[in-house]
Amino acid sequence: MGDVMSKNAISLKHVTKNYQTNDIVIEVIKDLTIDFEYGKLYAIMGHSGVGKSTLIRILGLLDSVTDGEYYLTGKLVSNLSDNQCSEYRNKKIGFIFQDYNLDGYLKAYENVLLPMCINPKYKGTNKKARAKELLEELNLGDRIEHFPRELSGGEQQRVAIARALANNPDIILADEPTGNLDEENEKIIFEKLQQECKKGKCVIIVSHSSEVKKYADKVLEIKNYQIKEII
Amino acid sequence: MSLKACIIISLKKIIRNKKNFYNCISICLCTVIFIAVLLFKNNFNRFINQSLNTNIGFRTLSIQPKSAEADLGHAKIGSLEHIEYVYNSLYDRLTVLSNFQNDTYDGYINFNITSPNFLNKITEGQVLEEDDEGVAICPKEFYPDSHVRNLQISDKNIIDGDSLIGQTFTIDYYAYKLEGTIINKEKLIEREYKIIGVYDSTKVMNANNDCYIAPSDMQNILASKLPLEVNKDTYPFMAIVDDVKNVDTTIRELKALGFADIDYKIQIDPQREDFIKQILIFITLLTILGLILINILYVRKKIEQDSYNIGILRVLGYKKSHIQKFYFIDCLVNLLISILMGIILAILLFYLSYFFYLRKFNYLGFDVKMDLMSFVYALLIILIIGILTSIGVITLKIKKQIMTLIGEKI
Repeated sequence: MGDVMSKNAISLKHVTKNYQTNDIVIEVIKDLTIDFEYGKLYAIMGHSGVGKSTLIRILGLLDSVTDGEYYLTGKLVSNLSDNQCSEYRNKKIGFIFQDYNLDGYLKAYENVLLPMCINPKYKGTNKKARAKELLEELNLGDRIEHFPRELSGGEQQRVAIARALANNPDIILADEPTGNLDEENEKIIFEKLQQECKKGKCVIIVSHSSEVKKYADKVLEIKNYQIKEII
Repeated sequence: MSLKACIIISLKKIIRNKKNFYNCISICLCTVIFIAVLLFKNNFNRFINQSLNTNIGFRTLSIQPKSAEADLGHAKIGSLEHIEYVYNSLYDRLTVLSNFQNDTYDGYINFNITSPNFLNKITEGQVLEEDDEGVAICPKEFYPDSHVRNLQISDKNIIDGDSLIGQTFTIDYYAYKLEGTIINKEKLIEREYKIIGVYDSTKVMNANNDCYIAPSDMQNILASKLPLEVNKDTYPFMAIVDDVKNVDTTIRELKALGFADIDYKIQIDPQREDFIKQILIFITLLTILGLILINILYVRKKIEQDSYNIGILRVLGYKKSHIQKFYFIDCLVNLLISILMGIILAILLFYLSYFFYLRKFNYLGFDVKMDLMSFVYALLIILIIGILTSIGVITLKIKKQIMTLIGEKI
């Protein structure tokens, strides 16, 4: 495990990511070095196919790096086992997806419970109360007992945010979180993520929406295998 | 993930996911078949054992007479230690038409003879003497109809034998002759009989239209027919052995006395018994195979349909072992609910079939029973098969990487 400055939630050092299909090696990320700090909201933009999704997979420990070092909350995580990655994902990272990805057979609060069920921090605590509290914070107090199919897109995404926040993670990764939402809901989502950022979390949003720039502390663009700060 | 949380989430998902219903029904039906096969097997074995021990036919030997001896060997057979009674098989049984005949009964009853000692043990009321005439001992639950063995008895038509004690009935005995293509019926005898006692037919596994008369009386009835067409010297002796366990010894003793042709009056056909047992094994194996296939297909389909959700759980930090445990408990809970439903259905079906049909075996002296062990075995077999197939499929299926599970969504 290496050491990095404590203000960085994430540090990538000379990270390269290649995909191999038969004999062809496709380079997606090349020698990328970047830090993501606590308490800041990052918007990652760029055209389709430039590697935004690959980057967020690597940051979320869903995919490994080909070369280089990845530090998460100060710990070197690029060589962790599958089980260790799972633990990190559960405790340190909250994910928000474009399609909400809620379990259709579970009620809103039960979906929020899911990450807490495997977190030892919440063992013996009233997880349902915490789930309700999170949903109430997101103005879903009257939707706690509802199934995802009974909720609008904006409400489902708010449930997904509550689930991402359930374990109080240091980092929130959001992949096109407002891709399926109208402007009003987009505003609600971005404001909530900004709020979380102000609480000291590192929020990284991949989005095509230009609205995200209004809320971002830093806007990054991926181009030619490299990431550049544009604002 | 705690076991309690796993079970709670599994239960909720099972109840809420209607697709589980078909699997529940399939396993439930397998459970019913399993229980039915086990119940049939146990009752079949019990029926055979009970028949061997209670039906006097299993300890009655048919022995060819020895023409060289004056009494054809009767005295020698009767002198053996375990022989209780010897008689000529010609007088073994006679079917007569009684005046019980009406719209309800066809009136046919069987007259039998047996060892007086044995008969005295099962008779309530006056007992029969060797040379009695015109008296009979009939079943306590009397049903004078030839269809009685087909279990076509209607309870309300059973005649309480106790109420018949002291009453008389008449019988007609006919000879049937084939003349050309026509069967001619010739009445040989018409007689009156008084019921002097009753016996519990279930204790000897007799039909409810089997009455006993005195041996001399039987000979008298048949005497009307004998001069016409029967040479009684050619008929074997029937020898009643005192206990079924002494039958083999008695056969050896008879052979030592020179009686070569010895047979059982009633014998279980081993080929038929084997055939029934083979059918039961076949049904059992087929059900096990069906159960394995149903479970494999169900778990496979469930995991394939849920692969995206599994991917999401992995993204939320669930380890492969967590998910295996989660799906295993899901399958186990589903299995237990299905088996429980199957057991309840099997009990209901048993009581229904018992009420409408099976209880009629009581009239043949056999009570079809529902034994606890059949349920325990069915539960264990289905549970073990279900658990093993679930573990196998879950372990194989939840090996995929997260990216394969959630595809290009991220």
